[in-house]
Amino acid sequence: MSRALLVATLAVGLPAFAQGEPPPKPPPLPNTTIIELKLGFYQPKTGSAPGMTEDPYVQTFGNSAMLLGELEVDRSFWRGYGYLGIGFSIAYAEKYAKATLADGSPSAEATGLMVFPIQVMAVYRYDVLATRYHIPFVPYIEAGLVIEPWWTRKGGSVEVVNGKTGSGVKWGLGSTIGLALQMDFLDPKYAREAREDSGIYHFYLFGEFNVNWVNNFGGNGLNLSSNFWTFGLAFEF
Amino acid sequence: MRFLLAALVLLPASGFAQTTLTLTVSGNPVAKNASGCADRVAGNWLGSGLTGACNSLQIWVTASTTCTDAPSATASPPDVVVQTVQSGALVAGTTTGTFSFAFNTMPSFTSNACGTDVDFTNYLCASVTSTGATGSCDGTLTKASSVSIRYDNLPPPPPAVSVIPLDSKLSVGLAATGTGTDLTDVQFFNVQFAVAPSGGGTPDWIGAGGDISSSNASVTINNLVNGTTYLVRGFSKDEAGNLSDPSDPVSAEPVQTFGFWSNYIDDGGQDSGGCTAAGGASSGLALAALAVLALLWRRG
Repeated sequence: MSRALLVATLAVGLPAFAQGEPPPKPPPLPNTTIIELKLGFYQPKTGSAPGMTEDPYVQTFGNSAMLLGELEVDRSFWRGYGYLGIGFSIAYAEKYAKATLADGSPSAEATGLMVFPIQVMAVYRYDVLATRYHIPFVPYIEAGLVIEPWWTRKGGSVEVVNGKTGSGVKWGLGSTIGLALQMDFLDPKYAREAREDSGIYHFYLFGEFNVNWVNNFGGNGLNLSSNFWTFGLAFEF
Repeated sequence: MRFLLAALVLLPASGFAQTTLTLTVSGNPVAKNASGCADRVAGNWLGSGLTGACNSLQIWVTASTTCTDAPSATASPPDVVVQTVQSGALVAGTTTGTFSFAFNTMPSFTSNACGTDVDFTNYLCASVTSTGATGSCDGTLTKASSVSIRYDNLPPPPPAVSVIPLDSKLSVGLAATGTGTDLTDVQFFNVQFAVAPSGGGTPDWIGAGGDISSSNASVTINNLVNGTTYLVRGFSKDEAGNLSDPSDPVSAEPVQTFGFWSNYIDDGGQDSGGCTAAGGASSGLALAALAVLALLWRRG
């Protein structure tokens, strides 16, 4: 049913777009806020740093990514042709495994790595297709600054080795490319009621690919860079 | 005729007023060992509907497992009355009061001297009778729920001790042993550890963790030296405060373990960790930037 609706929507919208007809007069669009809730799988490239002989993440946790939960808030300040705004996000991910004994066998203690990425970014959402041609896809890009507190644990406390405490803060850059599906076409009546009653303009489902360089801009320390997917739900109001 | 009907309705209503009686004692459940023999047991009683009482409210201690309607002087051993409240005071509106008695005056102490290694329970009882329908003292007998008072001078069995070696630590698990009340009586565990003496000397025991609740019976001994053999032993403590003999010592050796940070350092990682001054300044700049953004946002 949903797929049929989507095909129908594209069938109506695309020909007008493709035949080079003058675009409809853009509706006056207010600046809006978008709240995104997303989940992803994050595996830092801890082995990709100068002098590293092995990847300690893989060595400790295997090739199993962390489950990352994230909250992002975007606010537009220009709606002339698309959605240009700024965004702020906070996320959290952790991974635990058994610490090992000297012979490599698992011990009775757990060890963990926790990260808390915070990002401030510029956001551009090409929502022209949706606002002018009723094609419910909104591609978007984001780029910004990442600050990522991190800490390790072993046996219930932060791990300390040779006087070095396993915690810190890493800086870096983050970028995202994504595609959101505007859900209004599924039930236009409900979408209109949500806008009138709750001030929610649109609901979105989205998927995005993130490329983050979080290594203090090329420093020699712990490399928390990662390429990873996230998926989620967004509300625009 | 109407007055007669009213009288017939009102008289039984006053006689059948709902009466309840409750006993509470401080530190319930009361359980003491020989060191508490000279203590006094204090408590209070609370009644409602006592304006219909027609005899004294009595509070007594019995060695029987059930409370009779009134204290018995012929029971073996005889019940011990600890408080009598005259019905006149109850009718006048007294609905609560206090009582106390010496622990070692309980009936079962007539055949067991205080300090004897026995375990018995006596019960605190109370009752009162209300005026019946005819106006005479033949109404409902109200009894309070009994309150157990226990003398226990028998130590529980030592606990079962299990030790898991960790990095510079030992995790100690404890469990009550024995059967029946041996298992349910234990309220706390104590743990001691010592470096295993070389050449069969006497261990220098050190306490760890204080009183460890039996409902969360584990403790971690920190700041130990990896590769050193330690002895660990445990004690059980029951609700009367009796401490068991020590368990057989369990030997264990803390071992170095390797977590993510250890692996990172071993793999050649050059991060010094910790929150450096530079990191703090950076964080401050980030927060300032966020504050500016928030301000711009609000203006927008």
